[in-house]
Amino acid sequence: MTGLSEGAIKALSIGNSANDAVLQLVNIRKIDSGSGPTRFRVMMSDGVHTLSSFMLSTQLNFMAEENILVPNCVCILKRHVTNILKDKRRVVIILEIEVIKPAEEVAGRIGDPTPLAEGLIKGPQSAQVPENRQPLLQQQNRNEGQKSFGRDVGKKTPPAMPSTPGGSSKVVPIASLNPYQSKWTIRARVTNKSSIRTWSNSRGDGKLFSMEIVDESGEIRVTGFNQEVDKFFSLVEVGKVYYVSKGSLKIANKQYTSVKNDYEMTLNGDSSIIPCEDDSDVPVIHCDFVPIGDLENREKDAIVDVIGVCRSVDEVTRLTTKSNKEVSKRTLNLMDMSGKLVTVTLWGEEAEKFDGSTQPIVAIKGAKLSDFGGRSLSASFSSSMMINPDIPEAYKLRGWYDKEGHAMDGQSLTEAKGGGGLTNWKTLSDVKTEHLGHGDKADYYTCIATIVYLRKENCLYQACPSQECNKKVVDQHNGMFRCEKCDKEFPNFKYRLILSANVADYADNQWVTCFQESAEAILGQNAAYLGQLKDSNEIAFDEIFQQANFNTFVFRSRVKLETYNDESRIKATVMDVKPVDHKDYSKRLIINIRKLAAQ
Amino acid sequence: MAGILDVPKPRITCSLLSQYISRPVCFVGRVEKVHPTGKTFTVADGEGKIATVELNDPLEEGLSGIVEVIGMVSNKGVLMASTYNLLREDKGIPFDLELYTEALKVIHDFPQHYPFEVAASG
Repeated sequence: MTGLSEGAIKALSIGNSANDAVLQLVNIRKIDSGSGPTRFRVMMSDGVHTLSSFMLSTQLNFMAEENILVPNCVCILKRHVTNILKDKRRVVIILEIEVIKPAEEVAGRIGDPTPLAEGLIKGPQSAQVPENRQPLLQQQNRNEGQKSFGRDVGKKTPPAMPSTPGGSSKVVPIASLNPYQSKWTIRARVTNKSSIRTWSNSRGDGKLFSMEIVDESGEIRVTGFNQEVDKFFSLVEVGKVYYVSKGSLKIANKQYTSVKNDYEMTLNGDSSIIPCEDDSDVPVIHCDFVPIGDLENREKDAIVDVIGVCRSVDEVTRLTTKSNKEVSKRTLNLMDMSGKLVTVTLWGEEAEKFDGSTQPIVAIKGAKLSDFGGRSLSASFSSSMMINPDIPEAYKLRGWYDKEGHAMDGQSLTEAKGGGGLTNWKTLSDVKTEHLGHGDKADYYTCIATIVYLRKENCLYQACPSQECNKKVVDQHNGMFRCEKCDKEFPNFKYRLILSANVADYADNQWVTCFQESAEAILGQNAAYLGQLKDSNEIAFDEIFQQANFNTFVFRSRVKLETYNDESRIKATVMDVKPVDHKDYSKRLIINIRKLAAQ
Repeated sequence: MAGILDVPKPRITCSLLSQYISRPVCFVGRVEKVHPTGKTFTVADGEGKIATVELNDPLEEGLSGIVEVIGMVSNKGVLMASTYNLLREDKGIPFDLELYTEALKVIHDFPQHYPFEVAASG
């Protein structure tokens, strides 16, 4: 007694199902197929015969790479498909296999198997049929519980080749598709369908569309060109299940797709797509959600699936691309149970249609990770977005958010550029107690503060009038002004502002320096006018400074410890002055109050 | 009643009406339905809850948008308006009723930090 499923090799070689056959692995070999993914060819023995035309499906490559599958180990072949190559040879693709006895517990080769004659592998011979069915039935008795096995036997196609014209080919899992096999049908759900895109170049023009389909084994991208667009585009609806057969398979170009499959399919003249009514057992979508907090550890340009609560959303903006096309763009902030936020950019129609006012759960499949502003995501045309999807993750997230998540401030992985995202809000006392600016690099912070004093002495200087240069000029007292930097004399100069201001919030105050734009924003007048006023109407000039007192702004400042003559002091420079967005300010205060109360 | 403008009028939401019966309040909400008689209308607060406002005199103008009502709360929880003021939405930034309601909740949740009534009456 070998313990192996004697006869299984013969059965497999003629395309009979031999699921759960117990086989011994004789040899495993890596095949490098140039550009394609690595594949492993395996020789198996049932104690009677050996067969070398086994291939490991690529998703099981790890079993070979991690030395789980090594010569002499005994395995159960749980799932497989048999492919027929053009020259009628059969290849058994291993979809699921389990090692039941590692090689070290096996005393070498079991039995004395002989290679199954090549003649036997090629095509079936009617004489063999009866004897081959025998071991199969034995196995059936042993594995009655196995649903797949029973089903296969129940409607067993005769071992005559299923490639008979007109004969419908067997439904196979997407994971088993490969370019070496042409006779198959898959049953899969469409999860994403592109719009029709057209191209026009020196070689002509045309159109194409693509879709992503999924079954319980995996997913694949399908593209149709020209006639196939006309034939299938209107037929295919997202969310429905179809039988697809006779597409051409090729190595996937990972640059353009996030679909987890080494191959992609192109529809051709022979392809067929037939709606399938009974779709209950085909999964809705295949997502592998990455927690937002983990995005920091992912590589730039990685394609990820994320799910989160839409915490906030910006207005749609329109921009013009390099190719002079106008596109809509919208950014939103997603938050998940990791308490982290990430900014996601939507484009085109999705950007225009998106409504984030109800703080929906948003799942994005195939978003591209960028390192723009820390970490951010972009939903490209190959991504698909679902609002409040009917999946367990979404319900879990909704429950968490309504209960506790909504009160969290959330930490964004994306730095603010303009509005939204993370701003380093500080009060003026925080700036001192946290010793901002004492480090090697300058610190930046944003505060809301009120002007309490403006020093009008020396707030204007005479600067070089040339466009880029703002260097102070020296009055030559002959009607000419000299710029040392430009090494030139000019008959005129321009006024520029360097304004010292004391700003205060509820807890503290601070001296800050404001240059041109920020000083103009505070005073509400431009530098040229102020200069003119200073020379002509001192009362009006003073009035402007009086008026500017006690106005409140949002200041973005830079602080750095600077040393002059052995004396170190913190120097704060205002980078940007903006009016207070009271809505935004109130929201932040409320969030902070709730957070303090929860502590 | 004459002095309603001189006494403190806590700002409240619909869910707080029952706690302020027979007391002067200030209520800000979105006008929902105006009764054909013009003597009463309904307002929604930032949580979408509805309150009824009764006026002494029929309305002389169309009412829509955000309105601030000052009045007493009746036994039935109806706002008996002494005066009202329509917040114009064509000027400046639109009033965010939801945010206003969130802020009100903070005030009522932490009265120790927002002693408006005490300060005004004491």
